[in-house]
Amino acid sequence: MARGYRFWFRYLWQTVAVGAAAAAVMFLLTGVGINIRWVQISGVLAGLPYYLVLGSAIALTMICFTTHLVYFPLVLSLGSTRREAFLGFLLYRLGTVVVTTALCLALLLPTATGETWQLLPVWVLILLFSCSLGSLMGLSYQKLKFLGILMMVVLFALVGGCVGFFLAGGEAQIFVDLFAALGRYVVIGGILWLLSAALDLALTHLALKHREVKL
Amino acid sequence: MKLVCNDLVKTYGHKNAVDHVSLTLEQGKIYGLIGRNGAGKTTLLSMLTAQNPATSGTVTLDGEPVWENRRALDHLCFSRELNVSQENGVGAIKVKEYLRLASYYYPGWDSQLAKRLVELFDLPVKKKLMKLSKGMLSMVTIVVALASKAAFTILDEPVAGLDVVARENFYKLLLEEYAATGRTFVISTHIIEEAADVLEEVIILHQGKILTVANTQELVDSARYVSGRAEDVDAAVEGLTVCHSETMGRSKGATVFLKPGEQIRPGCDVTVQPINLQKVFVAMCGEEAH
Repeated sequence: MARGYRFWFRYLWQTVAVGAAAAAVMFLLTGVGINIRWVQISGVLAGLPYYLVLGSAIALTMICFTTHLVYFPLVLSLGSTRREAFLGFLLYRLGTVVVTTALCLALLLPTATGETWQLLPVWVLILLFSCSLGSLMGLSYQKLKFLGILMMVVLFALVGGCVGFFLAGGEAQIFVDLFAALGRYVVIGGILWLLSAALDLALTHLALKHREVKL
Repeated sequence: MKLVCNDLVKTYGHKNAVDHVSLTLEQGKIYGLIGRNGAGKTTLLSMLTAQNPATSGTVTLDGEPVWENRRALDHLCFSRELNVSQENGVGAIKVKEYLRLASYYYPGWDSQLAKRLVELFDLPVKKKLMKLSKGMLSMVTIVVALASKAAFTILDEPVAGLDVVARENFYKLLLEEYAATGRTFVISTHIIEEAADVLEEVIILHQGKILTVANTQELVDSARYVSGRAEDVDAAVEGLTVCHSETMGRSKGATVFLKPGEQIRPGCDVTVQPINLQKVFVAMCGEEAH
């Protein structure tokens, strides 16, 4: 059984790498955007964990989306059981959230304050939401292409708008303020996530059960 | 070890793509699965390897269900035809990556053999699957099938797109592997005559149903093509199993299968010819097949 999980762990590291790359790009663009000065670099650096969360959220959304279209048929064609594919997908998602969060914490440690730690649930929720959203988008695309494409367009317009907004501002304080604002709704966010995750997992399980392999 | 399917059905809408198929595949044989386009070959093979759920019926390996059974799946490999033109993203995977992923899932994966085959076929491992020609994609599926070392290895159209030299190489490799390991191979193919010498048993599938499962040589030996004037042909084959006939003006041709002890009626003014596996297949599955 462990053999099959090697596949998912491989994608875990790839997702973290893609998330980190997206974060690095945003970080560099911010540096250029604010015409880097030494006085501001510490402010930009402080924003790095937030970029990492956003980059990873984008990567998770994309890979969870792609899993339904590519990775599930691929692993089933190679002899995985559906149960292994389902559990592997869950482990991959949780693993990516844990590794990304740990990386963010490691980056924050030097400058962490009590307020920073309070934002932790918000990061985790954003990452968890990204998994469910990406997976639901993949399921929608698989069954109703139009709905899947519509969800993608709306999501990427939203993400693009947010990134543009952050890049224009540059300072990490914007992230802190935004995440702090989101933190006030963490319980509602948590309930919404639980609902979306339950829907996603139930539908994914059902879809896998009836899935036919086509490569 | 036996792979058995019992009363297997796969329904799409109101149509049975696979229609109450029962089949036993024994270890240490090379089977050929032949049938026309849309006969249900890939659907049947997909269900045998638990890649598609069956509408009804069972598939077992040594008595154990194959569906969701890791132990059983460890002995099965279905190297399916890669169709990367579809917008499903598998084409974005590099050859090297695809082979690595395959190595994760097959417990008996032979890396050395995979490497040797990649070199033999001169496969560009750094290229994405979508950048490969149809022939090269077939080579990738052959590498996976042979290197998997699975006891039951199924290849779906393995020679599609391969040139004649590559096809010869494939059959040679297949026989080498078969002789060395005694694995069971099931090959689905449309290039029947080339494969005929390699196939020990032939399974003919038509419109979702199995027409025959027979020893290839015995099937070919039992078939005759009888031609001549219509009334002479009718007299010669009277009482025999005629599976196909065609009339051209006053002439007629009929394909018959002779059971042990049977013969074409002597004394009739007809020509009797042996026929090859491809002709047998056409006779059984052609438009006017009985």
